[in-house]
This record gives sequence, structure tokens and C-alpha cells, in this order.
Amino acid sequence: MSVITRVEVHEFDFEAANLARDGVAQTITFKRGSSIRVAKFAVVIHTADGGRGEYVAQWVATKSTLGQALMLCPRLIGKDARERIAIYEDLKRDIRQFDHMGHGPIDIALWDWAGKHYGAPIAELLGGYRKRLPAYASTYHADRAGGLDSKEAFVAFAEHCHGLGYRAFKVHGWNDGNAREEAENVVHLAKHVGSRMTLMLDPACELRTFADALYVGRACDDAGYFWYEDPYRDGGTSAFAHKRLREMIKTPLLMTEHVRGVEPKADFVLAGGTDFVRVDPEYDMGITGSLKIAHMAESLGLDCEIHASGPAHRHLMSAMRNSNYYEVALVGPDCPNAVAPVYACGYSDQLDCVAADGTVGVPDGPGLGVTYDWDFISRHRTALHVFD
Amino acid sequence: MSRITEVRVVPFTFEVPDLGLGAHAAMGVSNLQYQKGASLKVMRYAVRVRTDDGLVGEYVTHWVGTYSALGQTNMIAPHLLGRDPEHREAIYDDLKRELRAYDGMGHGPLDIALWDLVGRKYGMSVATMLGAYKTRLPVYASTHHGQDDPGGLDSPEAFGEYARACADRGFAGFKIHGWHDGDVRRESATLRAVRRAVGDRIHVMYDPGCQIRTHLEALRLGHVCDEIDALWYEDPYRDSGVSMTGSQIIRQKIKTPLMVTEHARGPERKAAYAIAGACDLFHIDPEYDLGITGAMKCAHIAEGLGIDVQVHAPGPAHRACVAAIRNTHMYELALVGPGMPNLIPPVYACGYSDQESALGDDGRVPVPAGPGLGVTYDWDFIERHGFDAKTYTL
Repeated sequence: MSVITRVEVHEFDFEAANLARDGVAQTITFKRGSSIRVAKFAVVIHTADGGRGEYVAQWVATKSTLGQALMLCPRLIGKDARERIAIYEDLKRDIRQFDHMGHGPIDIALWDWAGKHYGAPIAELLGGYRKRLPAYASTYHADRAGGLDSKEAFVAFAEHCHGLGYRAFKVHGWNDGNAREEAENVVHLAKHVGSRMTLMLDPACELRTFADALYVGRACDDAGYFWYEDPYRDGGTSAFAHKRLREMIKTPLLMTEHVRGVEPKADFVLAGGTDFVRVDPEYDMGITGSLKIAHMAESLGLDCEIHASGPAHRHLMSAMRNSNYYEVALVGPDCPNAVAPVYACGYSDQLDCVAADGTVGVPDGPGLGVTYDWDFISRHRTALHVFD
Repeated sequence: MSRITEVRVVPFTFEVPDLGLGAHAAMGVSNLQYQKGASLKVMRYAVRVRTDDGLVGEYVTHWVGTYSALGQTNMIAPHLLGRDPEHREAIYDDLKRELRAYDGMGHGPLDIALWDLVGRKYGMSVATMLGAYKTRLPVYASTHHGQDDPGGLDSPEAFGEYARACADRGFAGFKIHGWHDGDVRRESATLRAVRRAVGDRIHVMYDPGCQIRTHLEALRLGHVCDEIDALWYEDPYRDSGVSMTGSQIIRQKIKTPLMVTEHARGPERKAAYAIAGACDLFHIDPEYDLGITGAMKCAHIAEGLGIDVQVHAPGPAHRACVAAIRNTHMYELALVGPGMPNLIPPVYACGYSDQESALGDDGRVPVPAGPGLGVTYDWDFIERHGFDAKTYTL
């Protein structure tokens, strides 16, 4: 037994250049000369036998998630770090009314602990075999400020990505959700790079009506898009509406990013609401929760696409046959991916992280296989919460 | 047109006597037990919205007031600045989209404050804004969970005795929240003890709070609900109230109506539950389901599908909703137990209460009739016990 004796949550923040907030959650767009302050947090788990597991939360690290993680941490004290399933069960039940976003970073830190305890990369604990993962460039939302501000700018950036090695590219459109503008961009981009790159579209729920979602979906059909993701303002939650949409367009739908956990995703599929299943180890109760989802999708004969980027995401994908692309999110011209620059080992999810063949690797050290830059985290720390 | 110029979010704490968290320290929503002489420190938060023409809208959270929801409210509060507080539907749509990857739990308190503000602007209660017609609501006693340490609801017999006291007091129903170990024998014994104690005087409902570990055990307890003629069976097992397929199978095999969707947020997800044949009635909550705006959409989709809803948990916003919904039954006084206070913040300067003592001689509670939510908050108390307050200004 490896008793958990201490859990730390380190809040920190940093500046990201040439970006601005559009809205209040994750909607960030290009703005030259601007910069935003990005807050993230790290979870560290200690066991009585000297073990240590850690994880720096990236896209999931919002105030909401932080608050939830702080609610859950006291539950870990005294538990056996090896019994991830029991911990998953209790944490899931404990915050059953909530979205479980605070659970993922804790579960991933437990996997890191286990990997380090046994001297194996997480990929190996999972039976992973894929060493190189085909990646797609997943853009910031379109803007009107000199970044991805026109259909021509999207073509130019896609060409740049192609030059770096990417063979797949996903558009996040404008936040206005103008169906005509989105459809024109979809068709225009395909005309220029469609024969050389696999294209996806994610309006991120910004189209306002079902009719707009249908209109843009038909443009995806015409342009041969690989998938069409979370089109409109149902917020990505209506199985009924997306069943109807699937009956009306050819392009496969990728839904369930906003449907948490294995049971609701299974029900969404069974209700006919999606073609691909979405999973994210940060969002969906960790690697433990994500594996259940990957296997559920597999048992229904479907593919399961991993949302966002990070070392946990790569380990997970290395053990999934039924997954197509790794998402390098979010990227754009002249601005960084706003993930925390906390890797002291060369690990990167920046635009240039792909090899010439458009793939990324899987870390091969114990646990997550990354070395976190604790100097950076300590220097930028804004709060420390300790549970023991 | 009014413009929102300020949003203030104030977390505060208060002490509740004779309650504790038992062996584990984490604070979910219902991990509480009777502990003589103990004192439980509870965090809730208040929100206040101001406009450029001097209007004010307020809300103080009840059960939704956790650190998770607080973080979310702080994420979206700045989004209200500059907007017309009467444009609740546009604000609902934008906040819902902003939080699409999250549960939206931080949205409800802000939406409710907007209803309060607009009600006060026109000198109308929120209930009246909704077209309400009920002035006093029948109430059911919704118990704290069973506990192993002595005191409180520590045995099936203790549940039976407390149920009898509640029936005598005038409650219209009694809902059992069982033990955290989900033991089928003890749960069954509790259901039978309660029915024996109250006979056919009041309704009996059963909510294991998702503590039954397996689907098969959930089915067995469903059959016990049938046997004791329970009014409904709620969130039985460790799918944690989110598996439609699991619920479909239970519904096919038991007679007792199944109430789920407390953990399925918003109208689209609840609709999908009903369409899949996975529930008999919805659970909705203006704090949980994107405010009064969202909760009423849920009530209306249920109405459109010809089924009933129950409003989860108590509060002034909850009473306004129940008063305006035809297809619902009783108001939930949650959580109560012998000698155990309800965990409601002591912030009402107007006599409003969700303690057991609030029940009138007719077994009912009133729907506030004053402008807005119709309650007066004690801001002195809130600010005096506040910490880490945030004010967002235009």
C-alpha cells in the first residue's frame, strides 16, 4: 500500500504574447502587441513511501476547475495511490452534480506517480504501441486584428503548416457565427489545400441556429471535410438535434466534447447524435476515465478523437488503435500556443513540435516522461494549497 | 435601457451547530452527519448586480455554493458588464456557450440575480413575472443521509421515528437519503421501516444519492420501492445519475416512477433523457440548471412531453418556480433530520426560512410576494463573514 500523505496545488500565471481574450473562458484570438495573463495550476501528490506524482493542468486549468480540484483534494489523503479505480469511483460520486473537470488533473498525477513508482512510461502501463502520432494544426478562433482575419489568411497559415509537415488542419471560425462567412472560408480553404491536407471544421458552438449549422454542414460536404465539430449554440449537448443533422449531411460529426464521462457519451452515441467520440484526459476524469471512453467507442465500432494536447494525451493515444489525429491546440500565425511553458526537457506543444512527416512523439521517460520546470512554477506562483 | 455596471461576488462562511463531515474531510454536497456539539464551517457566496440607473439585483447561493461554482461565477461575472439586465435570454445564450465544456453551475446565481433585479425594477415578484398562481406550497421532508456514528439518522428505526414525526408535523412527503455504503439489506429495512411508521398518511420517496454500487442492486431496491409504494425512486446507483441506458433498463423492470436528471444539466440533456425513455420525471433546479431562465425551459420541455418535474432543493427562487409550474408536486425541504439543522445560510433579514420550523400549520410554506425574490438579505452579515470578494466594474 502506498498511502497518500500530502497533496499540493500550485497556482501560477504567465504572459502570452500577441493574444487577446474574446469572452471569458477559453476564447482567445490574435491581437498584435497585446498580451494576456494566463493562469494554470500544478497538482503534486506525495505518498508515505516517498513516491511523487505531478501534473500541470493546461487547457482545463480555469477558476472553475481549480475550485473543484480544491474540493476533491482532501478526499485523497489516506488513500492508496495505486487504487486509481476506487479513487475514480469516489471522486465521481462526490461531485456528481458537477462537471468533474477538477478530477482529471488529479487522476493524471496518480498515473504519473504509478509510472515513476514502477519505472515505466504511462504509455507502457497502458500497453501503448504507437510511437509517432499524426498531428493536426488546430487554429485559434478567427479574428479581425491581423491574425487569421480572412479566408486568405487561413490559406496562408495552412500553407505554412503544410511546410512544417502538417498534413491535417482544423479551422476554428469567427465568434460572430456568420454562416455565410464560415461556409465561404470552408470552401475557399479546401480549394487551395484540400488535395494536400485533411481538413476539419469546429465552429465551437458559435453558429446561432440549427439552420446555420445545416448550411455550414453542407459546405463541409461540398468541400470534403473530414469532420464537423460542435456546430451551434445548443452548446454541443443535444443528441436529438445532431441526430437530425447527421441525417441531413454527409460529413461525419464529432460531438461529445461537452458531454462528460463514459455513460453520457455512450448514450449520446446510442441516440444517434455523433459519428466520432471526443475524449480528453483533462476533461473526462483523467486517463482512467478516458480509457473507459476509448473502449466504449471501440466496442461500438467507432473512432475516438482526443481533444487538445499534452503529455497525458500522447500516452493515451499511443494505446488507442481507434484514434486518427493528435490535436496541436491552439496555434496561429505569430502567437504561441498558450499552454504553460513549464517543460524543462524539450517537450513541446508549440506549432513547430511536429517532425517533417507531420507527427509528434510520445515521451519515453517514467510516468508522464516530462520534466517540469519547478523554478518557473515557483517564480510565477500566486498561491499554494496544501492538504495533509 | 439599463446597463450593468457592477457585479460583486462575495464568498462568506458561517457555522452550523451539531453537524460534521464524519470520517472524510471533503465537502461534496451531502456528506454530512449529526455530531453533537460539533460545528461545521460552511462556505456559500452572494452575488449583487448594479446598473447605471441605480437598480440592484441580488442572490445568495444555497446548495450550489461550492468552490467549483464560485470559480465559475467569477469566470463569467465580467461577461455581464455593459449588458441590459432585461436581456436575460441573450445573456443565457452567451453564458451557456462560454461554459459549454463545463456544467454551468456558476451561471444560475447570476441569472437569478437578474430576475431579482428586473422584478424590483417593475415592483413585481419573480413568481408573478413567471405567471405564478400558487401562494402556499406543500412540502416534503428530505432527510440527511444515514450515519454509522450514533445520533441523527443512525438506524432504520431512527428513520421510521423521524418519518412519523414529520407526518405528525404536516409534511406531505418524506424522502429517504440512505447510507453511504449502499448496503441493500439496510436500505431495504429503512424503506420498510418508514412505510410502516407513516402508513398511507404521507408519500414516501427514496434517493440513495447514487450510493448503490451496482445496477443489479439498484434493481433490487427498485423492487422494494414497488413493495412499499414509493412515489418515486431517484438517482439510485454509481453511474452517478448520468446513464440513460442504465436507467432505461431499470424503468422497464420496476413500477415505481424513476426520477433522474438532477445531474444532467440544462434542457437539451434532460429532453434527451425523456426521449430515450430513461426517466419518468425530471429533477430541475434554478441554481443548477442555468438559473430560473434555464429551469423554466426544463419545466416547459417536460410539459411539452407530457411529464412532471420536481424542483430540487429549497430557496426563494425555487419557490417562485414551483408556484408557476403546473406539472410538479411538492417543495423539497432539504436537508433535515432529527436535531439536525438545514445548511441554509443565515442571511435573511425578513424572516424567510428553509428550516423545519418554516412549515405552517397547514403543512405548507409561503411563496415570497415582495418585489424580485421577495427576500431581504443581511449584507452586514455577508460582508462581515466575507473573504476574497471580487468586484467587477465597467
